[in-house]
Amino acid sequence: MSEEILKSLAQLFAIITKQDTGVSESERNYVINSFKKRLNLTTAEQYIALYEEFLKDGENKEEGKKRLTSVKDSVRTLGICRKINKTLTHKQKIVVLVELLELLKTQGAASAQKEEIIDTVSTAFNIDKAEYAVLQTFVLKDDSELFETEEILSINRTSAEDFKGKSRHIMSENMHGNLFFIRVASADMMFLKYSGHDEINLNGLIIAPNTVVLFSQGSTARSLKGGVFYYSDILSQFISESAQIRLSFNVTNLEYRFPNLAIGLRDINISEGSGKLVGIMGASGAGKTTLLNVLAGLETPYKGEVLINGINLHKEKDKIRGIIGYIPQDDLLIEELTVFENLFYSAKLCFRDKSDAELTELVERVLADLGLSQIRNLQVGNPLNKTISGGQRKRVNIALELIREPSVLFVDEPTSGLSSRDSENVMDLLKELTLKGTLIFVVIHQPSSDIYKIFDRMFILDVGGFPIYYGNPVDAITYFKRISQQADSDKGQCQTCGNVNPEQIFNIIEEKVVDEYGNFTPNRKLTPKQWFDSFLSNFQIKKLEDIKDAKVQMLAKPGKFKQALIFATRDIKSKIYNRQYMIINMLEAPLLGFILAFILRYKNNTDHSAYLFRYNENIPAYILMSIVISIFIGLSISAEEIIKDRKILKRETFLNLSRNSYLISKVLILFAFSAIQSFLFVAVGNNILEIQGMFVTYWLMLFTVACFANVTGLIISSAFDTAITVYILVPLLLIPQMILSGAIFSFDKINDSIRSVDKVPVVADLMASRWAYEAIAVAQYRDNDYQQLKLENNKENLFQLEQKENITNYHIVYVLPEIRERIEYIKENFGSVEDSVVRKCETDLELVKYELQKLSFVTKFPDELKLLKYGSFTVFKGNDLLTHLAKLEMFFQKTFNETQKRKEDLLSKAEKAGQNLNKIKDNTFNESLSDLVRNATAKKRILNAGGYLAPKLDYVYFAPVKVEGKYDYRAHFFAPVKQFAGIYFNTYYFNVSVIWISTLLLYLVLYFDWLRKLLDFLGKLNFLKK
Amino acid sequence: MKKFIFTGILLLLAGVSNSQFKTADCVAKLNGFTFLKTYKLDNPSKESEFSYVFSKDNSYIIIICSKDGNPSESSVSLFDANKNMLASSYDEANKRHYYALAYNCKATGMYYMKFKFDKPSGDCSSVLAFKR
Amino acid sequence: MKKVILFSVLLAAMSCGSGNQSNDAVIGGDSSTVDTASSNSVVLPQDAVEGIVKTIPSPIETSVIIKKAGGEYNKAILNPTENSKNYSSSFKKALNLGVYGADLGYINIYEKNKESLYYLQSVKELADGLNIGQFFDFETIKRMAGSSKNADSLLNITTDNFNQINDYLFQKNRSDQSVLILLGGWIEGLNIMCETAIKSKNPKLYEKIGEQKIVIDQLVLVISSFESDANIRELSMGMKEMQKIFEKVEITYTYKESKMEIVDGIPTIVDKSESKVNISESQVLEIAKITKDLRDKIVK
Repeated sequence: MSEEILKSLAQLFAIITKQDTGVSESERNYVINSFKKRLNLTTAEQYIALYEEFLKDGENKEEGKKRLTSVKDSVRTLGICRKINKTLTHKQKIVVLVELLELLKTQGAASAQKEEIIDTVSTAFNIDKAEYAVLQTFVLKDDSELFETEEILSINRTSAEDFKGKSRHIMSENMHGNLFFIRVASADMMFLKYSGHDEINLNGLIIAPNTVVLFSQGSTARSLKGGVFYYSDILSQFISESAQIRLSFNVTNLEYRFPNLAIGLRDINISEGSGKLVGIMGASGAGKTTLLNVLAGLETPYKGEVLINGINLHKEKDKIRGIIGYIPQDDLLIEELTVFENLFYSAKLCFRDKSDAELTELVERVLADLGLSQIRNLQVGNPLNKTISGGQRKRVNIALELIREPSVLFVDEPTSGLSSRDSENVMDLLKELTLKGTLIFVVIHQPSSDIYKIFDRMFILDVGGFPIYYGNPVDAITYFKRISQQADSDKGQCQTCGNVNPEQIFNIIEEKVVDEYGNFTPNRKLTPKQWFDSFLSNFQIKKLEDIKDAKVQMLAKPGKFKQALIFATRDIKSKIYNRQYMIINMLEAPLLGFILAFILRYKNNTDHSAYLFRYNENIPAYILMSIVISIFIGLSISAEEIIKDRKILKRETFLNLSRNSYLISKVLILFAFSAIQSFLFVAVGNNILEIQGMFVTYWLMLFTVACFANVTGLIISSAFDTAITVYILVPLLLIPQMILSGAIFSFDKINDSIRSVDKVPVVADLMASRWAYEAIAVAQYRDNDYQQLKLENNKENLFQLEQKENITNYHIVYVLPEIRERIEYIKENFGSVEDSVVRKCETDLELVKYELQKLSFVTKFPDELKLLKYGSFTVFKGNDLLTHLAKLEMFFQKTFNETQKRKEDLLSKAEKAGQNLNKIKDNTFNESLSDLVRNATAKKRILNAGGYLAPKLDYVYFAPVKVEGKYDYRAHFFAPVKQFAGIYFNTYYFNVSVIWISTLLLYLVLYFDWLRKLLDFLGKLNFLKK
Repeated sequence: MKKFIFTGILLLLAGVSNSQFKTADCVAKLNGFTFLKTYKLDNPSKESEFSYVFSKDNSYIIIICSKDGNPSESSVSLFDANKNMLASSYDEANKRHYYALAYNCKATGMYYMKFKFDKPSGDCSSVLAFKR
Repeated sequence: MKKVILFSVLLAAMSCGSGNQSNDAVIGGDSSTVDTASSNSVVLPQDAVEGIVKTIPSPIETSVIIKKAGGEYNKAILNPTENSKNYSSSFKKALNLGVYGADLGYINIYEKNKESLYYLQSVKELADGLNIGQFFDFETIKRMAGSSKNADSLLNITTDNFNQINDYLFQKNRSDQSVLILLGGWIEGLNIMCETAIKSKNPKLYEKIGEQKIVIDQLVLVISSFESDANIRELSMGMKEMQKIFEKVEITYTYKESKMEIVDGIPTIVDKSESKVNISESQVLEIAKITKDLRDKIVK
């Protein structure tokens, strides 16, 4: 109390006491005691002196001027009160008021004047009239009247049935006399008064009967005969009407084990109803957070059960989802969004049926309740870049849960890292929630005295998951002191200051044995098990009955589609607000496109003066790098996505939201980014390199590849816990794509064990890059304006003519001579007895038959020759074969010549029609690409692929040479068509589809989280081996 | 050394040609002459005739190569535009077959070369070259 | 984008009516550019064409003659290799294959091996475009071109290649292309000779030019067989124009019996006959001009 107040108090005392007949002895004593109670002796005497002085002032007046004096006194009273109003808090004013009322009592009968003055005081203090009336009754009236006052709580031996009074009543068996409590709601204060012969011990001090004493938070009143009255219990009597949720939370014989089967928690038994604030404390590593997680349903117990209103939390999760709230220690906020937005979207995910306006109202209300209204539009930011303070952050985190109004709330270290004032604010908040009926479990570490006393119950764990205390917080201290046989063990809190010291508990628990030299050994005096045993023997937990019929409020979560929409909106907003992110993401692709295309824009200047697309030797490399860049960017923008959201996801498991919706929203956003990025990339790159008319071709494929990479990135993001692991994986994913794309290392020149003579190796078929590269290369070669030249009345374009030309030429120059050679060889050697020769003849014959049969569409291969066996080979048969061969030769020759003529025709007519063929070719046809897809540098142009002949040139003109079955999709690299299920598909579209199908499959892997499960499984294997 | 390389290369190049007989050996005998044409003599029962426009002031040589290197299987005779015979690689008088016939041309015009097989089952080819 | 039709289906459709059809001896009969107003030219049978083609002297001889006559190497008169990208039709490709072949010979004779690489490249391009690239083993040739020691071998190899190509084209019923190659080579050779002759005013070169009269008669004969193709017909017309000018050139031939000697173990004919060419400078200029025109049209 400040000087001013004391002075005012002295004045008030003086004014009152000198009324009527002047100050009486008892009054004076009261005043003196009052001061002495509050101050040290010296100061007390100072103010007593002051009081005396004020008294003298009044007394000096004449008797006759009494009336005038009282008016003057009233005015002075008012003046003092006004001064006090400015400096005292409401709580303090109530205390003063009570003090003044007590003063009245000393006299016996209160005089009207004195009462009047105090009335004035109360009015001046702005105290509610009704409240004041009750207070007055409480202080001044005697027991009989108190029993008749509704707002008062009386406790005595009378049973409930026998009690006839109007006040609230609790029966206490062994109590003597009557104990009364009153609550001043406006100040959130309680007072008690006792009349009787019993000894009432308040926080360790015996109170005088018939005095009004403040019953502060965390206080405990004990009657000598046995009744214990805790603050929270008394409080709940006064506010039992408001928001009563019928709730039972019972934990029975709970045991929890870690994955390696070490025991984490044992023999946990808890029983709580609604509206309680339960603290969980313990030494480091005792298992506090584990306990919280098990109780919240995040972890599954090894033994025992958690029943909420009779429903098993772990086995019947779905029935009680939505009534549990969980606030972890970490931040769950989306940094880029504002406080309001964070809450808004969270709310949207909980309430399907509320409109945006209703949700806004709800959010505003919660914000107001938590005192966060001023910061509603501030970006949350991250804990390092403080936009809002730590305490505010914590409150926003709490707000997220409060919107849902859960019935049971689990909070993990809400005060860690906060200033003491912020800590108290947060705890007050939680306390208020319990007043509304929520059951709250809080893991708390090193609480201050005030915070410690806020708790209704305390649950203490020792190392190894042993419960060693469960009960009233302040009593814990006495208990531990008692067990450890300490002196003053009956004193829970400090007498004078009311402080408790929770540290004491741990000091006692962990007290170490002292050796003979007086040094501390590492051994504890009492082991956890021993504490546990002591706990068991000293306490019995009363089980609450399971409330089975209570209706539990379930969440009305929005439908899957709407969820996806909400996720997406939230995600997009948070991304857009993050300017750095947006800028980098949007610029990355076109910038890389620019760098790549700029460097690769090779003029090939020795021959030509201007840049010509046709002679740029880097085009194939450009295609490859575009694909690699797309994969890389695709991976990197998605790699961190799920990791970033991990904490938020954890929280949202309580809301039972659809994982599919979440994933789809993520995927679609990433796809949108990919689409934009590939668009920009192609727009820049293709333009610099002057690739004409291929925009959609490039864009579609690069977009497809990027989407593939996106989903891959999401998979690893979902399977691993840190971003670092993911980024280390990126080379592992990217490099094989480069190696097996077919662009750097030819599929003809790799390790024999994976190489195939005429088909792309299967292992390369697993690489998206291989499909993409082939598709773009083939499309670029075939679909450009030059190759697509054709005459109006003609159906064939240049590509098709050249295709025919090249294929017939291939037959003329390579296939038929090869067949001829083999026939000749057989003719010459079929009589031989040498093994190797015979073998060669046999295989040659099979080859010849196969190839001739294949060319049956030209002229039918006679059956007798088809079935010719080596054993029955004769020269005549050989000549028959040669004759048949000659027919084929003639056909192909003729076709070749015709085709060449038609091609000549096309070219010359096109020229005559005014098209500058050269220019078209220069702008749209690339020589290096042509060499690539036609394998122009091959030395061997035809190969025996094992029973059949395969071309090693002009890849882009040949359909797949040998198809093993209807579903054999395999072909050589750069094939223009692919076969599947009997249909031939355009390579470009086929390849695009393959990648999309793979992406879809990967999505399934993502959805079922198979990678993470695989890793977990592998992890478990290791453990079990031990 | 040059001959070796040249021979080797010709062997390589002969990969696609249908001739059974390689002209490499023939050409190997060219020394200081520049190769012009090859004539395949694969029909032993007939005489083969080829024509070429020889230019004046050029020295030409016609070399006959047979499979076993023996010139005695065939001969070549040179005729001018009017079909006057100028010379032959076969010396009647001495019954000697020469493997080549050289001609220092002084009159530009069409000339005819007739190849004859003395032994019916020969396998020869011929090379025409000129001196630089 | 339309789907690519299966190749064999297409081919099968194309092949209806094939099989035992004998191949047309008439070349150019199924060309879609048949012009009804064809000239009165005799169409020679295959064998004759082949025979004549083989008769035509190689442009190498021309280059050797020029060099012997003291002509200076002049790169500018050759067809630049950049032009190769302009030849899209087989007509142009074949002609210029011959042109570059002649240029290659010229370069080789003058031992400018550095240049030969570029020309080899162009030759390869055109040969590939005509689907006869398999006759050139370019890896080896390029390697040889790198060193001057192999100049002779290089020349021989390329000559042999061209010979093989000719054989192949005849075999494959593509004799028109063979003729075009030949023609291209000859015209280029003549052009080189004319340019050099005019510059050096060397009478020996004038004589050589005149001697081409013998050759051009053969060429016109053979090319007339292919006039059904519009492009070739145009060319043939040009050749006939040139032929007219050559008609004014007189070649006299005196026959004397030759002597045979054995030189180095080889029977050597010492020619006593002689041919003389009567050609004036103005005639040379005329020929040069028309040659250049024709040649420029080919290489444009």
